[in-house]
Amino acid sequence: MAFDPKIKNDLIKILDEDRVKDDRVTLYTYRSDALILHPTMPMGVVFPENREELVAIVKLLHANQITFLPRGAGTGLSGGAIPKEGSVIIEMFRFRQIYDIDFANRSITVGPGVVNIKITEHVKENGYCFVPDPSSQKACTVGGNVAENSGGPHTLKYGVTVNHILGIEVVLPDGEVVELGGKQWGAPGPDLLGLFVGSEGTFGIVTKITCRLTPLPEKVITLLGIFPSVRDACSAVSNTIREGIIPAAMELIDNVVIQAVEKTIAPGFPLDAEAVLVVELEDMKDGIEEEASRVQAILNENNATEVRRAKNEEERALIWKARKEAFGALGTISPSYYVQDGVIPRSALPDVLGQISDIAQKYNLTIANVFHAGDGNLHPLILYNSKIPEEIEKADKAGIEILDICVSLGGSLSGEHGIGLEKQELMGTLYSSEDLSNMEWVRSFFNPQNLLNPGKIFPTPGKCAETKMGPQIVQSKSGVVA
Amino acid sequence: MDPSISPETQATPPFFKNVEFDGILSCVHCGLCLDVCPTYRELGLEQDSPRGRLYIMRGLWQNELELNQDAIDPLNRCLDCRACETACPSNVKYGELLEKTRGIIQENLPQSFKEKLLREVFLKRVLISKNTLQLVSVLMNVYMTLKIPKLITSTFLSKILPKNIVNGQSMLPRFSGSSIKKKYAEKGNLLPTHGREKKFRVSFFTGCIMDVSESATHEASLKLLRAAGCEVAIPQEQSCCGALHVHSGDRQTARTLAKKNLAAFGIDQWDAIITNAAGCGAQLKEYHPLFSDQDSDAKNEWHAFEEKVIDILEFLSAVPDFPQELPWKNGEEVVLYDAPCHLKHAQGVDKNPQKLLNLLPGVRLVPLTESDWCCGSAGIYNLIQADLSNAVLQRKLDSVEQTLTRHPGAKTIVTGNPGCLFQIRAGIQSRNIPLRVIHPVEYMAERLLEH
Ligand SMILES: Cc1cc2nc3c(=O)[nH]c(=O)nc-3n(C[C@H](O)[C@H](O)[C@H](O)COP(=O)(O)OP(=O)(O)OC[C@H]3O[C@@H](n4cnc5c(N)ncnc54)[C@H](O)[C@@H]3O)c2cc1C
Ligand code: SF4
Ligand code: SF4
Repeated sequence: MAFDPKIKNDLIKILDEDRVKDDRVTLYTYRSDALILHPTMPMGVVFPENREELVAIVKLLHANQITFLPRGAGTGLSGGAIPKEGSVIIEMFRFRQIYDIDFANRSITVGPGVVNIKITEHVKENGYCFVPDPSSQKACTVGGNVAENSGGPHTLKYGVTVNHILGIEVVLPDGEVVELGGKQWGAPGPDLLGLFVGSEGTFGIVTKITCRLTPLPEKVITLLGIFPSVRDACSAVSNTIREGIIPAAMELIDNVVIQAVEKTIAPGFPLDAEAVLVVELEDMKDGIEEEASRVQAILNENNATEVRRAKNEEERALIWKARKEAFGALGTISPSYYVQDGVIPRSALPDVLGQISDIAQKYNLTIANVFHAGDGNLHPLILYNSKIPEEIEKADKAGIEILDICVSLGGSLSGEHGIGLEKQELMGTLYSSEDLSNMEWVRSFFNPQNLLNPGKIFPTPGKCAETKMGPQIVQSKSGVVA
Repeated sequence: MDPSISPETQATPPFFKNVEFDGILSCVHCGLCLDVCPTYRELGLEQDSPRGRLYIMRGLWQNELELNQDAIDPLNRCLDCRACETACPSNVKYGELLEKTRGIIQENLPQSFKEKLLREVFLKRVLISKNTLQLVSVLMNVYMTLKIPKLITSTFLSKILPKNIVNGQSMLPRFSGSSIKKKYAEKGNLLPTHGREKKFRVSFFTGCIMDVSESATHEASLKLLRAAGCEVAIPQEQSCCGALHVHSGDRQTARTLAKKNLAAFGIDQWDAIITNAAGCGAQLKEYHPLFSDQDSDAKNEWHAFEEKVIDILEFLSAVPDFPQELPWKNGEEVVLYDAPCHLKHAQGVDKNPQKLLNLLPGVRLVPLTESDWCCGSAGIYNLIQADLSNAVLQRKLDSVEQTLTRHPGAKTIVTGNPGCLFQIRAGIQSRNIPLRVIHPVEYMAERLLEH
């Protein structure tokens, strides 16, 4: 695939030759995001630098009925940035400006290409942070976070991306520029901003984002509980929350992952532990010690063999590095992995993890677990060898079975990675066809001709898996499906 | 599912035969390496990111991409700074994979005239011959005494000569006109400890260019090692480490050099083989991938050699009671630190050198705000990719100026790799920043009092 020569010429008039690409190597490198199972070549890739250029490109593509989609850092795990129908990719890298920091109103306005962690780095000295902290935060962009409504370990206490975005500027699929939200909370009328966040790049292209800044906590305590079984660690999670304690983060890491991170990051987790639980408490100085000893007692009651406490910032950083880089670390024990992202009620955690391990046995695959236990957001990582075609197939099947379990327990298909093109065919297991067509109707309000990022989220007509359930309130963090 | 991601569905192309390349599979395409890559930061293209480059290599290996200019351009634009390896949670051996691919490119594609010239004359003749190097050094010494570089950069010549010749002038090392190796050969090759009982027997790697230039760095290294209780040998038969050859894809010459160094140093005689050039150290520690077809005995021999190689700062930081037992000047000074990529990212040596320098009485070491980013020197990259190298250098200089506004009293930047010294020094001059750029050992030796 490549651009039609006339279109290419017109694009070059808007940008310049260097920023309109359709050579094979460019198309090849842009055919996949972090979900490597479904590579598809785009028609071409364009690299606008500012809103005016972007609007001109969008208008041109719109006028010619050519499909297109924005791409951030390509760390998405549901294929959101994969050009499913050979669409044109709009690379948002160059939207990296930091426009305005307003400490009085606790906000910062940035371009969508700014890397998530840069915001906190920018304001840390002044005592603030940007809360959403996906494990990919060293690389993923704020634009991607808005599109996926990303979460992170600290979501448990502080909420997901949508809770930390005050306003956005958007280019709609026909080139019109609109602003949703603003610097202040509580604009009257329907919450279009809330609707937009989590729309997975199918409603519009974000060109400016005003993010909420949150004061850094006065004190942080990080505990590491070491457990002889995953079940015990899971019970510790439910029991902590049942006692009315909401830690800032509760992350579970199982033995397979411990083995992997010890090979790369070496945080000193015991190799024979079946699970470790990272519990982070953040609060005003008073009271936090008391809370820490209560949590410590709960972990012990649930058979923790040891509870460690990070002694300084260095130790704390090492624990988090191990947690945040765990997916990648699996590369040392398996050539490929497939991450699932199901949500279940917290109380079901111990049973579901048991069922996941049964599925692993059935398919003779290894499934590793490292996840946001506090909010029941599972990330089973199915390890497979991409050199063996049957293993690829088995990995896919195991993934679907796991999601089936989540849905049957009243959970959801995605906690934070989105539906994309990965799970669209499963949407019918969660929603009735009426629900789905209502949602498509909402999308058509923003994206009437479906030129923007087509082939995502909703089942392809005729391929929809059989509806198993009627409409229901779904426990989910992704804006679109909530 | 796309079957194209499984390599056995495609035949491996013939030029990958006998090249161990399975390591490419450990890249899980997560992208966590993107934001540390200097070329991605400048260009914003996936193919100029570590993940994109690995994907291109994988595409070549799986026979999905052709070995043509489009594919090799992004690989050539890579600085081989290895920052992506530090960032990668999956331990992808990026440098090794890139260098192997560059070997394939060199053997299978016609090279441009400029690259050929550099390779045939500079890499294959000058760097590996003692006598030529010394001659070059004498000539360059005269060249610099006559202030020709200044003449070129500051007169009309800068307008009429090709750009990389002009830029190259300010990046020239301080040639000394004589060889350190030779000087000590005349003194019997083995230097005793100084003022301390003997604790270690080490041998010293002098390098090619460094042997005939920047002699202050080598003299300082020898002084510190001897003061730390080392008896120091300088094997005469040692040669260039081969790093520049490996980076440019000339693996054949690199193999010859590796064997020469193994024979010159041996393995058992020394407690350590000391280097003071981060780039050379990284190469000496990575000879084994050059010989991936060897049996396990031969491999073990390389590993044993590699384990003996250690950077001088890392070594000194592990010597008991060094520097506490020695007399140092104690004037207060803030010193700026720049981490050479081949020390931090390729050798994984970072904290100890900084700790060591901070232990000197009165010294406060402050890393540059972007200390661990490449300066754009990258071997001979600054000659081949002049524009991109300069863009990367400008970022480094911004970071120097930023750090300097916070610490206006600083007068010195230290960085432990010759290429970085030359590059940053040239940049500092071009912006008239009032700082001197020297090797950390030179700085330490300055502060060491006679004892
Ligand atoms: C190792 C690893 C760990 C991860 N951990 C987490 C985690 O803890 N929590 C979590 O939630 N996610 C996580 N993710 C998933 C991913 O990082 C997030 O979804 C992230 O927000 C994607 O950002 P990106 O910039 O890479 O976007 P991309 O992958 O480039 O794009 C994602 C979607 O956003 C759209 N998009 C991009 N830019 C714009 C824009 N300007 N306007 C409109 N739409 C846009 C794209 O079209 C696409 O649909 C992880 C991924 C990896 C690889
Ligand atoms: S090199 Fe490492 S960090 Fe980069 S994409 Fe591959 S696995 Fe991820
Ligand atoms: S070695 Fe340096 S320049 Fe090359 S891909 Fe890695 S980070 Fe980028």
